[in-house]
Amino acid sequence: MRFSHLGVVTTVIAATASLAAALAPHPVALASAPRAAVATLQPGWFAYRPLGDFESDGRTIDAPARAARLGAPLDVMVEPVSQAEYARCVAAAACPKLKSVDPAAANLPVVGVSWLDATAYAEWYARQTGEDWRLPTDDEWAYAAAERFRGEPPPAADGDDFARRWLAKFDADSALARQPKAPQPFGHFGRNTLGVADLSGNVWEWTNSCYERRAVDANGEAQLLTRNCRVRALEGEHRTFMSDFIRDGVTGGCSVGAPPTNLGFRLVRSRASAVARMMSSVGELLQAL
Amino acid sequence: MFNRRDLFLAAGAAAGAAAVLKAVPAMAEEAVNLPRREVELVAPPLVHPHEQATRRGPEVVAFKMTIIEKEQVIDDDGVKIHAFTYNGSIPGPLMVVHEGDYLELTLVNLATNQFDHNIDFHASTGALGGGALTHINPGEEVTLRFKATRAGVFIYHCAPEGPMIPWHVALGMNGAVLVLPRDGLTDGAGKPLKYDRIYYVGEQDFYVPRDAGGAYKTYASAADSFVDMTALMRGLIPTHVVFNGAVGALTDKNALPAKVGETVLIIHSSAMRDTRPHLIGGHGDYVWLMGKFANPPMRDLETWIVPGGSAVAALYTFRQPGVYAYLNHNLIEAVFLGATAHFRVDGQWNDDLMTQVRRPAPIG
Repeated sequence: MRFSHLGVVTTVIAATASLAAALAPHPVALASAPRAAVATLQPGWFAYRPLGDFESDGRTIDAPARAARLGAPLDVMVEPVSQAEYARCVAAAACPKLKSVDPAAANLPVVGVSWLDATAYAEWYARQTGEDWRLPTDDEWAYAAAERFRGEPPPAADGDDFARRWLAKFDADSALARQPKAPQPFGHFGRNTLGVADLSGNVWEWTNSCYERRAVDANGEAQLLTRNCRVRALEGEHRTFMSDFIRDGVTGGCSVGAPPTNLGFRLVRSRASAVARMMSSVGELLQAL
Repeated sequence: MFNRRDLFLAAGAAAGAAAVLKAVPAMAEEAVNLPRREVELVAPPLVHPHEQATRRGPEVVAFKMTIIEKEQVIDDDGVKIHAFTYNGSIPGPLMVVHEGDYLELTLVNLATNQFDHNIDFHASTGALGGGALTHINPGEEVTLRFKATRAGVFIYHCAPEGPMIPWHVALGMNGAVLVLPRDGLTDGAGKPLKYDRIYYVGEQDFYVPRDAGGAYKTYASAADSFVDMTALMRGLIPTHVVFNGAVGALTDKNALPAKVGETVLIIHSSAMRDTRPHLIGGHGDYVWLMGKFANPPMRDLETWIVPGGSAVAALYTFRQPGVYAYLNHNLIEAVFLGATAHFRVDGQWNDDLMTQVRRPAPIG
């Protein structure tokens, strides 16, 4: 399967999640559990460099800068999922029990979670609420993060020289101001202009987007070459990728490259119907402007 | 059980033993008439300026090192130990002299410290490597001089009494001395070998006790950690194995810089455990296994061994730019416990040495 537009890819992932929710058992009201605070994002355009490795004419290139569009309103949790919220999923035997989770910590983000853990939580939370909650795609996360979005800084040096690109990436990663590891109370890292809290602090957040290789063709379209969905994108102070079962990026990472300090997540919920999402959704991408 | 009071009693006994040994007749008065040069030490991975080969005759090279007991963060999670340090760093500074020189060290034990300390130089001859002549209590200083009779790289470490010995070393009290041949390094067949940069990497094992919940424990003082820590040390499994005192001390923004075409001498010491350095993407062009320059270096090594209680010198000329991980190739210790450094090498890529013939692409 090849996709010429990243937006189509995103739409398909979103639709799959909604289908899963539709097939789930009859929703049960969340017993006495407080609902997560939600910010509703309105449709709009945003600048976005898609994730993954890009090439053109057999050479590595920077991800092309695109104008992307959030096509339908999107609800995003104001705060990442808390340890207390995650603990309720554990109590319901729907999420793996984790040492890093304090069931009393309603004001601290859950950390030390893998993509698989986060997905288990999303599926459980969607069943509990009867709503289409899921992890965001990378472009949805970027839109929600707004001015807090960092992504991958494009290498500043000569694009043809493999070693210079590598060193530029190494320098950019090394220059990141690392926060101490201890999870901070909600609000510690402030809110962005869209009212979303604690973005790009010391918790990197799982997205549903898979690691991809793309080749930009003569028409400027990014053709998908390969996709590896055992590796998912994380967003935060920088964009990084991790295998879906990794809970600690520091000891699960590579010998070179800045590891994420903590792994956590927040969920999103599309507001349009599944059919509308199929037609017009996040990441309706135009060609480079 | 050892409490702080016992430790001080032990210190008193040790100081008494040292006083008796002071009666050793001084036979090296020859050194008194030699030129004397004072050298300021610098913290690793850097090394104080020095000649590689020298035309000067033997001289007394004088150093001063202050023992500092201090809390030190040893990993990214902020785990702290009450470290014992020579001059504030783990490892202590590298001291460079030439064969036939006299190394003179003034060792200062700050009055604010809690423990007695000393120094055992593997490069020296007699008196437990000088350990028996350098025992000092907090608020004391001592000066030792020894003749550097053998060329090579040698460790030094604290060696007080009994269980204090491994404990002080495990808390950071070790470093190295580089005794260069007066004519500089050679390949063993007369060809001189020079370096453009020298870095000192000290590998350190730490043993930080955990509580029942698995969290690392903190202690009000070093003495308070003694019982738990030495019990853990008896199991021989460190919680941290790091380069230069902390996880990440030589990685990322602390990477060791070099350029393509430059030759780097890497001094690697390990006071207690055997280790096996490897430069990912490079080699050891010349490696003095066991670290002694009277023996010819081995060529073209992929990984070399540093026996616990020694230091090794490896020479490498960088041929490609990029990032090199220099690590303990027990990759469990490198990745999970911290024994990794980075070299960051600028220069022009050489396609002849390596090229990506075909980019990653779908099969077929």
